[in-house]
Amino acid sequence: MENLVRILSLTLLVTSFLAVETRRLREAITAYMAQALLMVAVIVCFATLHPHLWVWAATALVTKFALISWLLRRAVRGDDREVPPYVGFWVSTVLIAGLALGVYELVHAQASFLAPTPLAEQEPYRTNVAVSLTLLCVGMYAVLTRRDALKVVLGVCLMENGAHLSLVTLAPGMRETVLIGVVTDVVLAVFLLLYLVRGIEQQLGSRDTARLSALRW
Amino acid sequence: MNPGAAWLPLALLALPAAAALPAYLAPARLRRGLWAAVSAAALGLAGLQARAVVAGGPIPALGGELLVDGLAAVMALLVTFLGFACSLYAIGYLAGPQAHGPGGGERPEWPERLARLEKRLPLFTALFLVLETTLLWVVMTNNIVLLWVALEATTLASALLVSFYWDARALEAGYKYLLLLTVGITAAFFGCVLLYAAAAPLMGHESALLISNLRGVAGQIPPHLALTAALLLLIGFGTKAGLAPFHPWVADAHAEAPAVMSAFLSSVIIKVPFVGLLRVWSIFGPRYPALNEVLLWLGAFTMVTGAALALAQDDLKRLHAYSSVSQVGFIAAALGLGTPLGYYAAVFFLLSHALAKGLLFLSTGAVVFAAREVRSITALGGLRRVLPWTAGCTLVGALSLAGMPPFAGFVAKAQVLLAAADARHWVVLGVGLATSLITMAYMTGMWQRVFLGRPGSAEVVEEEIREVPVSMRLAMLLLAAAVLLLGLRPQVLDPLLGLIAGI
Repeated sequence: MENLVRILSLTLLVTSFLAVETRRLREAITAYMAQALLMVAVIVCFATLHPHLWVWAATALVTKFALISWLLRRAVRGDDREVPPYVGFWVSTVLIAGLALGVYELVHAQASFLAPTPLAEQEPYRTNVAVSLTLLCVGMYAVLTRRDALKVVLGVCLMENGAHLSLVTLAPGMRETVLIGVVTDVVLAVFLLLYLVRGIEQQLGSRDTARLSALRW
Repeated sequence: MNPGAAWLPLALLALPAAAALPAYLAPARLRRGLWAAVSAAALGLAGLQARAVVAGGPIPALGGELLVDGLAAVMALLVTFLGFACSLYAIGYLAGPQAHGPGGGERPEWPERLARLEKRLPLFTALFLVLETTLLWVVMTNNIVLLWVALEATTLASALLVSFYWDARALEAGYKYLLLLTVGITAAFFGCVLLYAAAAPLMGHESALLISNLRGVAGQIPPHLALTAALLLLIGFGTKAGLAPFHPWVADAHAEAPAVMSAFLSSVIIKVPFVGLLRVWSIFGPRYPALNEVLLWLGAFTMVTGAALALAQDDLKRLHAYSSVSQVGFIAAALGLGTPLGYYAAVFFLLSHALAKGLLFLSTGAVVFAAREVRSITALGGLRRVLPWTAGCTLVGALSLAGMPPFAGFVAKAQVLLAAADARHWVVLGVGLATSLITMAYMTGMWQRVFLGRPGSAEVVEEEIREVPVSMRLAMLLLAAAVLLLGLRPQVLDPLLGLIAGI
């Protein structure tokens, strides 16, 4: 199972790169949906060890793959070309690759620092927490370097995916009702962010966040 | 423990939430009255709850998922009191051009911005009530992960309230608010989960969720996990509280939101994260002094940063917003002292600032309301003649914040500075004193320039400015009275604050 988790996790990181770098928003959202499915697959792998995680897998499927993807798709109207980001494609590719590799290796090597239990220091949990935090960092990178507000929201979604995935290593015994509280917040946050982005688009005629500069000191 | 009073926290949570839909559907005339009535009832319940806690001890509910101790009781009182004051203010502030002032007196022209949004007022009222519920949930929850859920829920409930005016500036403010806080609080998410995960092997998955149980196993949690979790919580909750350097969202959100929302934001929303910080710091602070030091210095840095930014402002609302950042630094520094006196001073300061800043934002809202959306201090002037009530209430708030007796701010500042001296933190004492002087400067300067002298711009025509509706004046007077009462009788809250100091 360790190898399967490793393969799924690596593919997951590739989808996060695609989601961040693809200039067509609908394709970026497709990459996000693929990531959501891979997340579900990873959780299913862990569910074979902890049966109550099947509910977590179902929750991820409904919220990430269905609800959030639907909200993102709904937000893209007409021309789905992204407003060019602050960082160009090739530079960004190198930066993301470097960031992802660096964070993954660091967390994987130092997993014992964050591991709350001896179990969490072992595989496949170790890989899981490394992938989760890498995903979080790639999402943060997107939030900081993308000018298109929809891509920024996608970056937030990637960060939330990383946080969600980390729960499998950090807190596999957590009650489902608490998890549902967490994912409800995430879905509502994405909905509200997209609602505000739509308002910005209507008022400014553009999703370019560089134009959000009316408020200064 | 006081399980017999468990109905109180449940009723307190249910009431505003249950009233949200009726408030949304109610006709305009009934809506504001319903909002005020529900807020008054919630305040009554919070009062009963506080009395029950003092008499019988902490109140558990829902199998320990909620726990109302001294801190929760006093914060619930604060949330409901400010909620009531805002609902009273809203009767006049959100009345619309068809409304008549009580007594049939003259009323100021309804700001153009609000006139465009009359149709969205039901949503404003409903979301405000939902927001009140989420704030009460934050202060009363005993579940470490649901604390995060509730805190994020307050951000979600308030996002559309911040961007309510729905123009370019308001949308920019709302977008930044929601984005920065959601990203920032992700750090707190890891902090909450780490604490839970560290405690779970020691006492089981269910028990480890409850904050009240963490104290018992604090010594067994590996130091590096406790420290990492606490620092992540500080980043996340500190962003929400407006601590520097996580403060960039504060001025935009306060300035562009409607006045009732700015008041609620500054008085309550940025204060509730301190509930989480106080609980965690009181558990781990004594064990790891480095945590106290970090909070102390962050507080000192925030004091100075906020004060310097406030001094440079010409926009009334942005001045008050940066002032809030500075004052929140006092709360953090007092918490970081790690002593019972420090905890007492932190919570007293929190309450005093909440009342005074709530008053200042409501009175600023009144000025802006009366002066047709002019917010520039340079442009305003001489308004004492035409807005006597507003001027008086603003003076109370400004003097309290400046630390003048006989107002609550004087007692609050004195307590924080005394706590710093008692703990021998002379640098922080010095920074606190210097910040107090700067605060005095910009607060008294603001009042003098807005209410004395003459208007600085042709936009502000004194003959066209009228004092605001009675309901707005009543709300401001209520808060002014509270600021004065707390200053004259600071011991009135001791039965509750004493419980907190002993945490």
